[in-house]
Amino acid sequence: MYNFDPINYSLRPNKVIQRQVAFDGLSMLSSVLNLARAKYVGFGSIWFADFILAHKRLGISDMLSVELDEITYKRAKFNAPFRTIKVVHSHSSAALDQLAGSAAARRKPWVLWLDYLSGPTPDVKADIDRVVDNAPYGSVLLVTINVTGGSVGKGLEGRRTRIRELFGDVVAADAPLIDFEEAKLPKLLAECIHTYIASRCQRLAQRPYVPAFSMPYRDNAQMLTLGGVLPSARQERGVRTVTERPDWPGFPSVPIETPPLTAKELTALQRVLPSSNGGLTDGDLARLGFALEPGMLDVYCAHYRRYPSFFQVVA
Amino acid sequence: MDQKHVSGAPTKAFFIHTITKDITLQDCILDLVDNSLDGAARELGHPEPHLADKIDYSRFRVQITLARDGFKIVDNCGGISLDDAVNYAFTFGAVDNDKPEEFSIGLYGIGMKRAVFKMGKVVSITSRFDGRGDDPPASFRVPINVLRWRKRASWDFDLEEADPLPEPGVSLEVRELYDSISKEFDDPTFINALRATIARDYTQFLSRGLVIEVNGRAVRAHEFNFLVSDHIKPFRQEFKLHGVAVEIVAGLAAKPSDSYDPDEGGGSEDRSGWYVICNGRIVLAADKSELSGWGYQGAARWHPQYRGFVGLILFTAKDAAALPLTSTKRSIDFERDVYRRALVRMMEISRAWIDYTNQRKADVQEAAQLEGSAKPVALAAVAKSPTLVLPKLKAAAARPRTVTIQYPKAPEEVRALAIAFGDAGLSAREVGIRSFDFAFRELGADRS
Repeated sequence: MYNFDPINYSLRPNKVIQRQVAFDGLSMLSSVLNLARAKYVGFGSIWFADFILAHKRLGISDMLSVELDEITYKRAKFNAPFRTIKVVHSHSSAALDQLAGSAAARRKPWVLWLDYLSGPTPDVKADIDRVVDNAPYGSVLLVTINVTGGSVGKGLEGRRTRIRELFGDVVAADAPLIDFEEAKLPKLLAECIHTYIASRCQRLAQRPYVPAFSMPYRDNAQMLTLGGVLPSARQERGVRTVTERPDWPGFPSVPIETPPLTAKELTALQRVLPSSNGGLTDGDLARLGFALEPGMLDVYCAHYRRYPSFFQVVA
Repeated sequence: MDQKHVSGAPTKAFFIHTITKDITLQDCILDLVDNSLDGAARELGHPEPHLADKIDYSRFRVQITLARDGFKIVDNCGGISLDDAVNYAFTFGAVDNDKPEEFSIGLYGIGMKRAVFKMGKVVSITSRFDGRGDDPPASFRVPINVLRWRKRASWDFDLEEADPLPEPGVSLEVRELYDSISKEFDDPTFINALRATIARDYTQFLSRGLVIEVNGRAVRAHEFNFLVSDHIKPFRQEFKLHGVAVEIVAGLAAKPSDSYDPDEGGGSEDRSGWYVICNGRIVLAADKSELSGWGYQGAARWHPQYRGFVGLILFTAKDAAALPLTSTKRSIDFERDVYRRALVRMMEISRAWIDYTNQRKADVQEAAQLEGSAKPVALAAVAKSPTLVLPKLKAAAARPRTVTIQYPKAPEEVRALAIAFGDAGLSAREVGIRSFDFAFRELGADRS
């Protein structure tokens, strides 16, 4: 049993795409937040896929990877792809507390990607609280959680109760139970957690919060990456200008759920893209000589530039 | 030396600051709802509320609208007569010759002013009253510009004629909200918390047909149910104390928790504890403090073991001054004799529940089996019973002496151990017991 994803992230197309979307957004935010000087904090496990993008696309050097399991920690130290990645053997709560207490760490903004395998739990909520209460101005928080029905709560009523236990009045005590169906959970939880963070920012930390990411995707399970910016009052307007741009990628209109494609299918599709009318039809697909599940073509067209190509390498 | 006077008059700024400081925004809004309900009760001839009453509030409606740029509450609860407006409704505090309204909870004559001063700078109160008894019909408006009013020497407000509202009632609007208020009204968690409080605190009125809408959506009454079976019967009694009618209903609202871990199954949704209701309105909810006897005078303090218990105590009096409630109407005046006397009964009932939850630890399975057949019964339908009837546990009679072991462990480790025991669904408590039994057996402690 592993306590990290045993499959290399880079081989999972939807995970890869949502990561690229997030870094597209972070690159845009960097124009107002100067993220190159930030500290990147994440759970790099042994793959460090997000750390590589943080360094290559945002220019971040100061990076911290948190690893709870001892063996994985040793492997992570061995696999860290850059000299400036520090790997700590710690629970995320302790690592975040240490960051909050470090004067040096508080002198620069943080870009945190807390990528959990679990659903929303008290530990996840407590980590969010730590970041919201302590992150320096100009920081960005991304959180990934499992949002399948079972990971949120047992049955419709169990999910409503669970969400209220964790995040309080973000949903009404008498909210219709139909809102808690499994298919609605990614959107609902994104709204709930954004509302929770905004409310906590206003009531306790007395700071602005700008929601910036809400990206449901499918990666074996139904997953959600959400997050936002914790700017200073002076930075807030600039951040909102970026996240309200029509080309802001952080709120995809449909879940990132592309089809697994063979190299032959991928090559055939790429040869007719980009299309003049912005997408392809089932007719176009028929002319190429194959078919896809309903809706899959649109999602692929929306993300084809980020769709990864894989080849087996014999090392 | 000639006799001189020194000024003892309060300044308006000090007055506004003082009356708005110690009350929450939510409680201010509830004060306005109270005013609407007092209007409805006036229209119905001040009926006496109690659990089995058949008062019909279905023709009354209160609509609350909260937004970043303003607050509005509109009711159709009869409106204010011109005489009441001129002499009582806008004075600061009840006037000496004011005759209190029967079975209301408005007492201090401060709620409406306190609410609007807390929220914003521009206020408009419009009323339509269609006449009752000697009071003629009247439609009027009282506009208040708080900043201008503060600069004037007079404490009076201007009253002007107004086009009549569509129905008899009051419409109160506040604009130019203070920044902190504006942010609260823009926060869905504030709106949802307000809905939950209204659902709970006005359940007596909502379940009798009253409609309260918050931002266009009606609030559903919080339902109190009690478990009843051959082995379980809630306590229910009525009696009089110092001229105040008292009703108590108390028992199991939910089956007790098998886990005593504060982190499991509690949280914001824990509705256990005592509820105190004064003239129909809940003024203390799900209380687990000394105010309702937990930990008071040597009694046991609240513990997660007692979850599942709910007690309601209703105080009803013609004159609200006889009720044991504070000026904010959000807590109990603990020093009042009527409350102290009632508290003795409340603590007896709590004691019975505490004893039962201690006994059931000896054989949770037997207890769960006896509790299992109980069905929920609505509050109003609970039969009278002079005692709280709880399952008689055989194990309790022959209970061996035991000690309870408690220790914290990471949830993922507990789950991993549950899987190792072959059942991922085991509760933390069960994992703890099996771990002990396993160690006891494997280390040969049973043979020593």
